[in-house]
Amino acid sequence: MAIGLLARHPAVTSRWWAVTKLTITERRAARDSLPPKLRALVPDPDHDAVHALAGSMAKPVMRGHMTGSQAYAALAIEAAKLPDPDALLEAAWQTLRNHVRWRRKIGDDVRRQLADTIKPLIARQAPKNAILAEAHGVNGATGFHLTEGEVNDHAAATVWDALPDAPRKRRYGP
Amino acid sequence: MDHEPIWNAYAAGASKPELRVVGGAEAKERPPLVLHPARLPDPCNINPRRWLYGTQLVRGFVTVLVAPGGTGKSSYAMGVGVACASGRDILGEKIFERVNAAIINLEDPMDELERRLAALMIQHHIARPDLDGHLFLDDSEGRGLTMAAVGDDGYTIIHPDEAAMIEQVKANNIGLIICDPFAESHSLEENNNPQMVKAAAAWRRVARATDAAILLVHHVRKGEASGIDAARGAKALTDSSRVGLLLSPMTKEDGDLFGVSEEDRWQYVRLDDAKRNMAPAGKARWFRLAQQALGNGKGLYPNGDNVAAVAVWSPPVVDVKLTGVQLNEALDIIATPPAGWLYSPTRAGRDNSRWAGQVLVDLGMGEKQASHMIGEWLKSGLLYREAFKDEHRNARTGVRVNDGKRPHQ
Repeated sequence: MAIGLLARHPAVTSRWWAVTKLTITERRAARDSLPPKLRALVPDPDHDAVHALAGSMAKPVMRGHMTGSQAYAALAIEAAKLPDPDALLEAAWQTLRNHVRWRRKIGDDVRRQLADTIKPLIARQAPKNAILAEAHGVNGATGFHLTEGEVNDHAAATVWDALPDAPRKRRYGP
Repeated sequence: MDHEPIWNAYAAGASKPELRVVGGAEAKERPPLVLHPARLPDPCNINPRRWLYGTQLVRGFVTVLVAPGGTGKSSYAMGVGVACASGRDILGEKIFERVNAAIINLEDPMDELERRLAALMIQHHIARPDLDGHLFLDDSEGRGLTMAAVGDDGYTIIHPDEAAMIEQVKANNIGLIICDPFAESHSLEENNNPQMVKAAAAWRRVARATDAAILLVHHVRKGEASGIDAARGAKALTDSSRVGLLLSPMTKEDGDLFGVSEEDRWQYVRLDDAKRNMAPAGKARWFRLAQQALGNGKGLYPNGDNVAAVAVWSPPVVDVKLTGVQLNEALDIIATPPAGWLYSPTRAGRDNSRWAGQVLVDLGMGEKQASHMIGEWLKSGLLYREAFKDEHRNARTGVRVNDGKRPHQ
């Protein structure tokens, strides 16, 4: 189970071969030489393109530029060109989900990092543009995992948390 | 979200500013409150309601479909979507206008939705070209849908996907949006009336802005689903909808009436306009969840899938067409029993010979139908109960005929 999960991790399914620096032919030969049980755990080199496509669609899907159905359809079209498309499509869809999960986690990490960075600025009463510049800088340095709007939202939310509470009996909300 | 109040308070060293609901119509500047006299237009000049699908869906308004789990509400909703997208009255309702339909199912994965769609298409002989480009289908995978949520501050209500939804609906010229289930389209507290008002209002604004009809599918609370008030959570949702529909499974009484066995009852569901009075069982709209083989067997599953596809079902005629003369003959017999006793409202006597319904059975009616008709006659007052003592001086209840309510001959 654990090995299966590891084999499906985004870093393994889409990038493991980059570390080995093997050619496709060498990878195929290495995979074919494995006993069937182990072979099932190693991604087929011919499937790289489909898995890479799945990984590349995680960001647009998360940001709402693309629906899940459109991503699924794109994967289905690519998978249909190869043998055993059903299994490949299922695996590629899982890859997409893994990437989404992974990106969500990274996004949470970036948010934490962003808050940690701008809190000292807020304490020093730094101007708004300096805080936002720093926040966008953190997002850029980590690979633009958040959209511009998300960075603005999170910076404002951090500032809001730092503001003193309003006097009692003040009516909040709608 | 407009962050200016936060930044202004931060720049001024002030405390937390008062925040308003953003993203919806509330965010706009509202004109001053003025009461207007009624315009009293000529009725002929008032625009008719723009019904889209029977009297269930109206352009620019929200309809709520409430149903217990497992009654086939998703299948029914998909059937409505397919009917509107194909322009064919596959479920027996008039389609005033063929429109593009979007089904947003936030509960099931795409492959399951495609199975249901395929079953519907096979069941109703719908070809791909009939739906191609007219039907939009989205599943629970991917990004999901958040029409209303509590903002980061914990008390403002935000509508993250409202603007995008309006844009998508306009871009694809969609006339019907089906959201299944409503509960998955927001992240607010379902038992909180003010919050449900906001969630329903987000959908209503989409309907107004895009002129599309919206069908929200909603679950019922635990227990028997007897009306629209059985909808789960706060009542604000059903109150703010234009039309409320209730899909309910066949009851044991209905099954007995229509001669449907206990094992087969689950296949039959009835649809009622739950904001109006419930129709009698014989006049309600009935649907059957027909099991449709997809023919997709392979590998480990050589038999493939059988998937439920909703189809119109006409219940057997409950009222045997006895003529007025025959009914009056039966009533004459019931009104003049042998001396000393009255016909019974329930089965009585050897071979039911003392049962009023037996008179109808003798005229050719089935026993269940006769029992139903005696019940209806008692309800309408044509028959009324009267206590009497039989030949052994035992207290009994019989029926007499109210001649003033006899059917016309």
